[in-house]
Amino acid sequence: MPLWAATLPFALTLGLLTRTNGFTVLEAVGMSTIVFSGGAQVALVTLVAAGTSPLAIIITILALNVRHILYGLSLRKQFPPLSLRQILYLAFFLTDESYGLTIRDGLSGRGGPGFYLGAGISIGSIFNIGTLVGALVGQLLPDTTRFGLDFIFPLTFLALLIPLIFNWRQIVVAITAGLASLIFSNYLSGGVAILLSALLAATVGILLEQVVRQRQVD
Amino acid sequence: MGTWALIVVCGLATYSTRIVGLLLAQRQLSPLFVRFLDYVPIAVFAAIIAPSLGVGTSELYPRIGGALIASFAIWRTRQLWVGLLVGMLVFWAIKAIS
Repeated sequence: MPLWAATLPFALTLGLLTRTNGFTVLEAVGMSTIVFSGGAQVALVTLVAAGTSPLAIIITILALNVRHILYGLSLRKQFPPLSLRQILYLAFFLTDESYGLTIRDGLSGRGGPGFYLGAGISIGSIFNIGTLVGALVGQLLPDTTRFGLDFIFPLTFLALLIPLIFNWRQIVVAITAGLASLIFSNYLSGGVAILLSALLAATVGILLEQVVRQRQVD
Repeated sequence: MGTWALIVVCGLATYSTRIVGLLLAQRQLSPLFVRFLDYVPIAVFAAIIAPSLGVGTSELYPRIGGALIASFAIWRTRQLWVGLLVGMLVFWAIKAIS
């Protein structure tokens, strides 16, 4: 599974972070199993260490994860109607990576719930193993940011983004989202900034479609 | 609040965001909204990437250079691992000479 290349260093770093911030190994792995969201967990560990109130932590995590709602909505193109029971267990495996892989597989007409579940379980396993290893050998690991290994994070999402782009409107949407996110992230927490930028840029995409249609009519 | 209680509550908060989208997806949605959703993954991925490109830091050129050349490599090969490899190599190369 190619996304392991991104998930594993992230999970190792997370494990290291939990260790240096006073979480036990059991808490670190328990968190990776229960929360199962890299971004949310980095926020959780960092905020706990900073002595932030539980309520503020929970609000931050909700904001960071609102993007999951958009993911779930956009998967409707590829998934058949689901029962409540299916939703309850499929939802657990909804991550940036499982979503990205499923969308990419959907380009060739596949990417159904089975593929999604396989991707989710695969990523979940490596995420928990990585957290465990990171927490156990935490102090021995070099600082991954020193070698720029955190650059794997944007590269991974680039590899998810590029295959989705087929026309100039989509390029404009991507650039708009990127610029908006750069500006918003100066003033807002990461999750809110991403959410607002995405909504703004997708709206720009719809408006561009309308303009093109008007021109064709005229 | 104890650490375990906080972990469980944060887990429930995260899980709730995962359920809501899939639940809403079971309803009939307007064609306009569906076209809007088509742009969402592109917009979200770009919004996640941009703040990691080193704007305002000393790593701006390695990161932008690595991202641009990796984008080209991904576009040509459609392979994730090629993108990671090319991106990291360009990143380290620019960092070494700058």
